[in-house]
Formats: sequence, C-alpha cells, structure tokens
Amino acid sequence: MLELRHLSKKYVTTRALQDVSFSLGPGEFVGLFGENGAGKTTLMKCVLGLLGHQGEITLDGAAVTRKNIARLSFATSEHSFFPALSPADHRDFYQSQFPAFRAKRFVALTDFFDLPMGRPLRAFSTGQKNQFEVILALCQGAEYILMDEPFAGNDVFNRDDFYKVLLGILEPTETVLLSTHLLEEVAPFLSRAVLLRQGRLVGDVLTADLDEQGSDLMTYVRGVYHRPADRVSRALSSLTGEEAES
Amino acid sequence: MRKPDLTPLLPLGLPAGSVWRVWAWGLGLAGLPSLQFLAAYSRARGDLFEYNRLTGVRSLISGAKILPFPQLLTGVYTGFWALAAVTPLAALALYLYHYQGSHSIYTMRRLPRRRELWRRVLTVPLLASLSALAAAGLVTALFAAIYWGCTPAAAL
Repeated sequence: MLELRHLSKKYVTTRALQDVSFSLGPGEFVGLFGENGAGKTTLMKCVLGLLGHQGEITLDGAAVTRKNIARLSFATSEHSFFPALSPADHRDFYQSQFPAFRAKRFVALTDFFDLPMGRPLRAFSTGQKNQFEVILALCQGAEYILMDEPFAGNDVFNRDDFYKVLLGILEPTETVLLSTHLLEEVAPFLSRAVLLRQGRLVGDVLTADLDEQGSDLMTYVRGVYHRPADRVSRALSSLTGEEAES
Repeated sequence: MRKPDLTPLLPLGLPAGSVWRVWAWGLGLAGLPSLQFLAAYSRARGDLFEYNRLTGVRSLISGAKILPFPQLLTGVYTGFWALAAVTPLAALALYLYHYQGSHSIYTMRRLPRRRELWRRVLTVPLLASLSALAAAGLVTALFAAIYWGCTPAAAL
C-alpha cells in the first residue's frame, strides 16, 4: 500500500500541494486528474523523493528510501531516459540497477511498438520516445508505476494500442497512477479517479461506484469542478446575443 | 599503454573519448606556464658567469650564488592550480548533462544505489584535480633535477 498522509509542498510563495491524503492499493489503475497547475506532477515527484515536502509518504508502512525505491517507477512527458543510449543500452543499465527488471516484457513491448534496439533515443520520434519512456517504467519491475502525462504527442491510434497493451500485461500486484488530461480516453480503463484542484484533493471515486449510480467520470469531474455541462452553450448564447444587440 | 575505460565513471551516454581529450588538453595547457621556470633558471644560471673579453672565456664569478630554487618557481604552478580550481565546474557540468535532451536526472536520483549518480559526476573531476597535483609534483621533481644537476656546485 502506497500511502500519502497530509502531503504538502510549497514553492517559495506558491502552495503546490495542501494537505493531500490518499492511498493506493495493489492492482489499482488510478487516474490522477486536475487542471494545469493542480499539483499532479508535484505530487508524483514528492512520492518519488525528487522533491522535498511536508507530510508522510510510506510504502507498506515504511518511508520511501533507497531500500524500497525500486518498487516505484516513473514515466514522464519530460522523459527520464538517456538520449545518447539505445534501448539495448537502457536494458543493460536497468538490469544492472533494478534486480526485478522484466526483460521478457521489455523485448515484447519494444518489438510490438517496433522500436529499433540499436539506435540512440535522441534519434527517435516524439511518439517513439514517449513509448519507450513508458516501456521503461513498465519493465523496471516496480509495483507502483507513476505516469505523468506519458502520451503527450502520441497519435490516438498509438495511445489506444498502448492502453490495451497496458491492461493486458499488468499483473494483479502492479498499480498504476496515471496523470493525464485525456480523461474521456482513459476513463474506460480506470478503476478509480483522484481529483486535485489548486493543490487540494477534491475528489476520490471508484469508477464502479459511478457505474452503479448511472453516472460517468466526466459528469463526476464536472460536478466536482462546478462546471455545468451547458457552460459553453450559455456563453455562446450570451456572446451572440451581445452581437445582435450591437 | 591502453587508456582505462572511463565509461562507468561518466554520465551515461557521455563519450569517454571526448572526456579524455578535454582532460589531456587541460593538463597540457595547465603545464605551459611551468615552462617559465626554464627561462628563469636560464637567466639565473647565466648571471653566475662573466665573459672575459681578453681571453674570450666565460668563467664562474667567484663567490656567486644562484637564486634559491623556490624563487625560480614563481608562476610555475599557476596552470595546475587553475585546472584544480575549475574541476568543481566540471562536476557541475557533468551533473547538468543529465538535463540535456531529457531529464535523466529523475532516473539517476531514484536509483537504489545512492552512489551511482555521484560516482558518475564527481569521480572524473576529482581525478582531474589529482592529476593536476601529480603533474605539479612531477614538474617540480624535473625542475629540481635540472636545478641541482646543471648548476655548478660552487654556486649552490
């Protein structure tokens, strides 16, 4: 269980996270949503120890340290791979650093997405880089896979392939925390959604509960954000009304 | 002599060959100011002799003493100290390499082996500093050999 308790983070004068508490259990596929600047990236970086913070983050009751950091992996739109290395070089490095590295899964995924094993990553297209970034996170051997907007720049077919492959290969012990703006695209794959707004936790819902209520994730998010469904049509009406008057 | 493989001591993907070249050039350039010892020694040694126009013979001036060895070393080590002083910047450059083309720093900072990042960022600059000190020592030994070997005993 990955637990965040009263997590807060302040950048000089900006409060990026304020008293965020929730936990992730084994096997969950959780969407992390929020507007730009809501604190999604900051939250992930705090979990990974990349940023100092207040509050507590534990893995099965123990603080996240070098002893258990390998249980967490990270895929980011900023890319955390080594541009001058090839996928084969990355495999060798990851195998030397992460004893639980999933070599078979690595070969299968790089083959599936046709990524050239001997070419340096800097020669890859943006889409290929994104794919490889996610592959590394999935193959590290981690139990908690944190993905921060990993598909920015990938075409819709590519993304669709990836969601399906992701769901197909994940084991019951693997947990995914996925931050993305593509809410409607990922909704069918999620077991749970966590919403941040201006650094605060404003929503946490199981998709199964929404289904039982006859609702959907988009409606839930709109409700939490107080964004009425007819917001755009009302704005357009008032705009066209103003134009008719002038 | 085969060069040691620096690859495990450098950021991943940084070519060891280019680091060797920078290191060699740096050490070479650092050594250039040390050559002023040769000029200073040559002058100091020359001052020990006088030229007799009648006989056409250069002879040691009676009672003349050469300048003390440390005095002839002024400025000799400037390049080596400069090289040693620059190595923190080299360490910074190696750290910032992890922000080029991606943020591989995120991977390096979450490795189970804590020392991996620091080994790849600090080792080569430290070795460069040590090599500057070692070169300074070698140069001192060489110049001492010249000083005591080439100066007439009576003038020491």
